[in-house]
Amino acid sequence: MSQPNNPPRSLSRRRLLQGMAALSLTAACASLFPAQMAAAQQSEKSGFSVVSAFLVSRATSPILSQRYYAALNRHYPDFPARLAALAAYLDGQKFAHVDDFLQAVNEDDPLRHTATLIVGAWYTGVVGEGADIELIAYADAMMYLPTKGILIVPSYGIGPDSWGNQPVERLTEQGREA
Amino acid sequence: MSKQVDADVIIIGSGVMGGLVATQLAKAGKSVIILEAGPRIKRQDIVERFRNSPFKMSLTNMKLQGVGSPYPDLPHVPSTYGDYLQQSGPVKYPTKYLRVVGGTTWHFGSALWRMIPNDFRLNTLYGRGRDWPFGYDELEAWYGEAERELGVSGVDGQDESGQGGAACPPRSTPFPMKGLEPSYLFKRLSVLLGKGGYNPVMEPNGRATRPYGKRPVCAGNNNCNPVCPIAAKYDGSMHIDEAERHGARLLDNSVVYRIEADDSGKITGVWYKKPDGSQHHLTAKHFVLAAYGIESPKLLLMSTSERYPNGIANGSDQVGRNLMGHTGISMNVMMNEDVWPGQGPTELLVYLNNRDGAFRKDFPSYKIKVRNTVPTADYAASLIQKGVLGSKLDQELHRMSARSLNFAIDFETLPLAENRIVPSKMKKDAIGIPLPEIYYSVTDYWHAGKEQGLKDFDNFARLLNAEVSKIDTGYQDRQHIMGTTIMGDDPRQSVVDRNCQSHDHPNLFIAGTSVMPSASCMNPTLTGAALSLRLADYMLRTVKV
Repeated sequence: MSQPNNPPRSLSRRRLLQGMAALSLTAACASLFPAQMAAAQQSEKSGFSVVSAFLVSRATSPILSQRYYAALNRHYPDFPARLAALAAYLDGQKFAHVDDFLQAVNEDDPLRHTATLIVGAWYTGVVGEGADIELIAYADAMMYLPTKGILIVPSYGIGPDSWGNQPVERLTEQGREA
Repeated sequence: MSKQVDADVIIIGSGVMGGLVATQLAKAGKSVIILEAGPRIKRQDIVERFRNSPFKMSLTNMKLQGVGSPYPDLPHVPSTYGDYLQQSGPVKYPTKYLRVVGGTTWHFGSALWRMIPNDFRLNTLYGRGRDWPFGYDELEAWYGEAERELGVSGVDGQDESGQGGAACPPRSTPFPMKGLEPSYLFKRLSVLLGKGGYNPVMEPNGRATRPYGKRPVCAGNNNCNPVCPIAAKYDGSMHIDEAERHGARLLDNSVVYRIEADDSGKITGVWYKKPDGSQHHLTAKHFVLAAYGIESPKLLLMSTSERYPNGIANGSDQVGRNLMGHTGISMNVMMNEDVWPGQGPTELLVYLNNRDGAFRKDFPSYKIKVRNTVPTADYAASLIQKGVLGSKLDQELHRMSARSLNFAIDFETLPLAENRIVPSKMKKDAIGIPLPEIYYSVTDYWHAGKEQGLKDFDNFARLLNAEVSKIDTGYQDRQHIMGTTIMGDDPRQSVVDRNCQSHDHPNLFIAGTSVMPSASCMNPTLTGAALSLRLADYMLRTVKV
C-alpha cells in the first residue's frame, strides 16, 4: 500500500482526544481511572466536592477531592457527620460567596472549624496533625495559586534567568488570568 | 614496602573534601579507597522524597528545621535531623550534616567565599582567637583552584570586605563563571539599604551560570536546600564520581570506628563496620580523615589504646576542642511594598559592613543575609491555623509572600577549649558506635556582636520602612562546623601542622574545615576545599605518597 502510515488511526485518536477535552474532566477521569472515579463519586455524593468548591471559590479536581475526602475521613472519624452538618447548613443558606458564610458564622462555630479543616487540606495539600500528617498534593496545593506567575513551587523552577525584573501582576489573587 | 597493603591511601569520608583529595590522588595514579559511613543516593529519589514529604524543611521558620530531611535516616548512620547529636552545653549546637556519599554539600546553600587576609591574623591584629600558621597569600592560588574545581559563579571586582571599595580580597584568577542575575528583591534592597551606607555584596556560590562540566545552568528551582533537582549546584558527589572514573574505589555503608597506630606513631590500618555489624579491616600507606567536624574528631577520640590512651592524633588534647560555628540571630519584617522574596536562588545578597576592622577587638565579625526562599508553605499553614479563610486567605498569602522578609546574621565565634565534641559515654547507635556529644557555649564577645547586629536590624527596618514582626536571638546554628582538629605550628596546642598533617602520626592527614584555626563570619566550604587541594598537592609532591 502506498498510503502513509495509519493516517486514519491518528486522525481518530486526535478526534478522541478532542472529544475527551470537550468532555468534563470528571468524565475523562471516569474513562481513564474507573476505580478512582468510583471513589470520586463517593466524595461527590457526600457533598464534599460541592462544599469544597464553595469554600475555596474554585473548581476542584475530582481526583484530589476524593483523596482529600478519604484522608479527612481517616484522620478525623467524625468528619462525615461534620461534613453533613456543614453541607446541610450551606444548602439551606444559599450563600453567594464563601465570604458571606464567614460573615455569618462566628470564630468558634463548629461549622467554621469544619470549613477550616477542608480549606486547610486544599490549600496546604496536607491532612492530619503532628507526626501523623499526610501529604496529598504538593505542586497542586492551592496555597501556590495566589502568587502563581510570580513565585514558583520550590523544585519546579521555570528556567535560567527567569527572575530579575520587577514582577508584573498577571494574575488575580485567586490565581486566575486577570 | 615489604608488607602488602590494601591501598596507597585510604580516605575516610566521601564529602567534598574527601572527594577532592581522592580525585587528585587517583588522577596521579595512586590507589585510593574511600570509606563512606552512609549509602549512595540518587538525586531523583531525594527530589521525589522531598516533594512527597508532608514535612518541608523551612529556612524561614527555624523551628521546622528539625524535621523533613529527605535524606536517609538509617540505623548505622542516624540522621542529624533526629536526636543523634547529644547536647550537653548551655547553648545548643544542632548542626545538620549528611552522612551519605557526597556528604553535606548535597544540601548546602552553596555559598563559596574566600576568607580575607586579616581573618588569618586574628590574634596578632585584634588579640582574639588564634592566628593561622600562614597568611592569605599562601592560600590564594589554592582558592583559585578550588573555585575552578567546585565551579564557582561570582562577581569579579567586588569588595567582599563589605566597605564598597576596591576589589577584595586580592585574587590572581577571575571567577570561573559570571555571577547570577540578582532578583528584584536584591535590587530593591540594595537601593533602600544603600541609603544608609550598607554596601550590597553578591555571594560567590556553587550554582552554574553556564554549562559547567556536567552541570546545567541554575534554573531558579529555589530548592538549594534540601536538594538541587537538576544538579546545577555543586555537591561532593561530583568529585566522588570523578575520583571513581580515575580508579578510586568507594565502599559505602562502611562506618569506620577505629584507627590503629603502631608504637612508632605510624597509622597501620582502620576498622569499619557494615550495617549488619560485621567488622572489617583495611591497611594503607597513608590515611586521610575527611569526615567533617563532628565525626572526624569523634573517630580519633574513639581510637584509644594502651599506647594512645587519649586517642589518635591527640597528644595535644586538642582533638574535639575549639568547636566553632556561626551562631546567629534573625529578624522578620513586613515591608510596605511588594518585594517578592523567593525568586531565583535561595540566597545571594549579603551585607558585610562589619566583616573587618579594629572593632574585632571588642565584638566579632559578622555577615547579614536576606533569606530568599519561597515562603508560601509557612504562611499558608499559619494563616489557616489562625482561621483565616475566604478572600482574605488569598489576599494575605499574596501580601505576606510579597512583603515578609527574614534577615539573618552569622557571627564569627572563637576557638574555645571548652567547646568540644566527645564520643558519648552513655549512648550508642544501632551498631554500637558512640553518639557524638557536644558542649557548646558563647561568650560576652558573641553577645557584644549581637548588640551590634541588633542595631543593624533596627537600621534595616527604618531604611526599609518595614515593621519588625519578630526578632530571634536564640543562638541559631548555621551548620558550619570548624576547629575540632585545629591547625597550628605548636604540637602542644594543635592537632595538625600547616600542611594538615598530624603532629603525632606522619602518615595521617586531615582534610576539611575542622582544621581551621579561625572561623571568620563566612561559610567555610571554599576554605576547606582550598586546604584539601593544597593537602593533596603536599601529599603528592612532598610526602610522595
